[in-house]
Amino acid sequence: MIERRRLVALIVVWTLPSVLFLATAAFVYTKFRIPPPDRLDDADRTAVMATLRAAMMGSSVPCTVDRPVEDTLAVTVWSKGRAVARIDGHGTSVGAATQDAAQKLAGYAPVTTMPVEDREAARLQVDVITGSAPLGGIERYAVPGIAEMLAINPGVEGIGAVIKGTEVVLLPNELVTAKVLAAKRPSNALPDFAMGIDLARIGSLLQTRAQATSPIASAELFRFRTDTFVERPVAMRPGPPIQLYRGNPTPPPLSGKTLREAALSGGRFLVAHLAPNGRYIYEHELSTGQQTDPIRSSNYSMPRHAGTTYFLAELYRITKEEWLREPIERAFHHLAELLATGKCGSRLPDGTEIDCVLDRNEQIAHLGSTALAVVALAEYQRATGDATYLPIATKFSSFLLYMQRADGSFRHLYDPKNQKPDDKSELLYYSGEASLALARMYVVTKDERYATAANKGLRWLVHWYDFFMGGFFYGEEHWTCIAAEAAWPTANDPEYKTFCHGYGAFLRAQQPVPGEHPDQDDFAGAYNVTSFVPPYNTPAGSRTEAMISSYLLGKHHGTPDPQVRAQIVAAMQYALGQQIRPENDFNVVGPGLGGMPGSPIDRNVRIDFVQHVCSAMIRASEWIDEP
Amino acid sequence: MGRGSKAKSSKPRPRPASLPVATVHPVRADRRRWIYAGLDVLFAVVQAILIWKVVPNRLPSASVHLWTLPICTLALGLGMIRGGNQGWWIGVVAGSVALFSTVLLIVRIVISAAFLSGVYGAFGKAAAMTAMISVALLIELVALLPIVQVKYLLTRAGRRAFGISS
Repeated sequence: MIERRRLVALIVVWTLPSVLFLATAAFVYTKFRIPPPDRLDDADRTAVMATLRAAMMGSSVPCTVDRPVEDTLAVTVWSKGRAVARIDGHGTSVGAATQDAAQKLAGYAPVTTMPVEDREAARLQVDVITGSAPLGGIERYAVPGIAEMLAINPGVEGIGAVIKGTEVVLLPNELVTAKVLAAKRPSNALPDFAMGIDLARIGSLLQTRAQATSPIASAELFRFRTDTFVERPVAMRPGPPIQLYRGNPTPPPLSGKTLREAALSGGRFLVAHLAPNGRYIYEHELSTGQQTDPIRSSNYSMPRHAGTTYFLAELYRITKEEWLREPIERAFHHLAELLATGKCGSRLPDGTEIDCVLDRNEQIAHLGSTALAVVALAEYQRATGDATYLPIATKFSSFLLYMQRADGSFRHLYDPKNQKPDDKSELLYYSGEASLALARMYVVTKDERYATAANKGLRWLVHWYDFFMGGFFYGEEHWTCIAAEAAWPTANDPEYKTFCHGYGAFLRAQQPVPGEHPDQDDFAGAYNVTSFVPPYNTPAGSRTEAMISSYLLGKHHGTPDPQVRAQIVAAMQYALGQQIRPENDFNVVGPGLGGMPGSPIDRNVRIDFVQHVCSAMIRASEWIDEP
Repeated sequence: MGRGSKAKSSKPRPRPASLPVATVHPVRADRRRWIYAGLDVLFAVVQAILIWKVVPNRLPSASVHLWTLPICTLALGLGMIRGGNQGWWIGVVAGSVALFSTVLLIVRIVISAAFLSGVYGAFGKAAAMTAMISVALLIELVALLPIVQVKYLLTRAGRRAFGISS
């Protein structure tokens, strides 16, 4: 008897916890899961759009699409990048809800009074609500912070409430535009890192939309998913409406040609954002059209000015597109203007003239600004053969040599007033950028001093990791690998190749593959440590620039890494999907074509986002079609 | 025959007529009692520092839940030091509450994982690894000590060390 009881107790001890955990997991998963939509096919989407388009143009076409909808079908009318109308149709089928929306659209004055050509050019977006689930409600039982910070799948899910018997909804793209998806900053140590929805603001937006008098409590809110599609641009009609996922259509297929076109499109974006004074419009918020002032704004980065100009010079070297040359010279002229202030120039005891880049409001010179300026100037000379800027580049390079220590490392900050380098501060990127600058200077001058210094810099960077824990991780080494390839063949140490291939393997662990996170397949190819937070788009460019160099370095050594090649292809495919092009510019205010938003849920474009991604694109375009 | 002098007896033990009553027997010295007491105090201090400095929580319910762990571990240690019938009961109750609290913490991790899988369609390798490391750390830093200690307290040797017989 006792033996039996012991056996039962043993079985219970080993199985009961698992049963408890599994049952809990199954219950919670089922309660919060919204199945992905069973999407409308081309014919159904075309039929829905025909009805809505007819209503917009003052005629009538019945809709008989007999597909399920969860009460609401939302219609957004986009004109010149702005939402001029948002109408909800209700019904038990897609056809019925479309008819209801069409009827409301036909009587909606802000649309019907638009000039005919504007109405024709406007693009209709349709969101068919296909499923819903509670918004939160488990905060008390889950690990604190999880349910609050990660309450909805951003850009894919919307939030709604039933107010006075009617369903009122905020669409996934509306939540993105309202900037309520990343409203909390969980760590003081990472001030730029924001996540978590702003429930109070969402409640307030829904209250306004429903014209309700009392505030909407968080408990009344629900999440929903949609099957979203948008009308084609006028030039691409007729044709079935374009399916969207997280606001983006399916990316174009990857090839050398598409990458080249995308890179040139990025170049056009930057040229359109270069002011007459040679400074870039640093940021452009696509959802509002708001742009930084290139004359008065203090929000500017000289390393990014130099880096962006470097990309334009690189684009010119590879494509020889003449429209690039004048803007490049204009941006360089701005650098020359800054030099003319003479704030940074001096003469070393041995008589060598040095100079560095110092912006108008800066007192301390950053090594990276000067290094990237040299990279850009050398790239211009490589592209054009024009040595106009060589004297400036030489002074800058002398500064870089002066800032290098005997062991190959660099000092990163310099006080021009007291002519004193800072031996303590260590900043990201600068050592790699300086090594690259020196390697590029060797290419245009064949001066051995530059090759030796670049090699010393690289050796220091690669051997910095020679300690036990250093074998487990890599820092931000993308400039190191770009420099390692640029320094070939004078710096031909196979350790550089091994280091860069290892860096590639380290990065691949952060790169999801299609199917790994089924709801987040649009993130495949990007770099992110978790699928719960949308990836930033820039690393898909900057890290790919490094991987292209790593791959080429492998080729130079006769051992190209096919995994690095696949990594580049995946990242470029992701980036192509994120770039603004005619198919997805319906909600872009201002000249946004070719722009690269900050992330799938951040519509802000900064010049360096475009620079890094498009630099990777144009470099990859040169060999990506090779077997 | 002294209790526990043989692991197993061939003769059936006479059944008591009613439920056993805890009776106090002479305490037998057992070093494990003091080793456990030392470990309890050490773990309670480490847990308290972790909750106070490393993973402080602003939510009262979560904070109360977390603080049950060092408090119960400390109570477990105090029970070991006190000894006797009261010390034994304090140890068993505190150890059991610490274990129950740990199971609840693991349930919270499971709920969070299931919630994220529901909302995002998958949990992902990094998140799964983080969750598993969290559970492993919980078991190592919180559950292991009460498990072996409660087991010890329920054995004959443990009872004897506290002068208890049933």
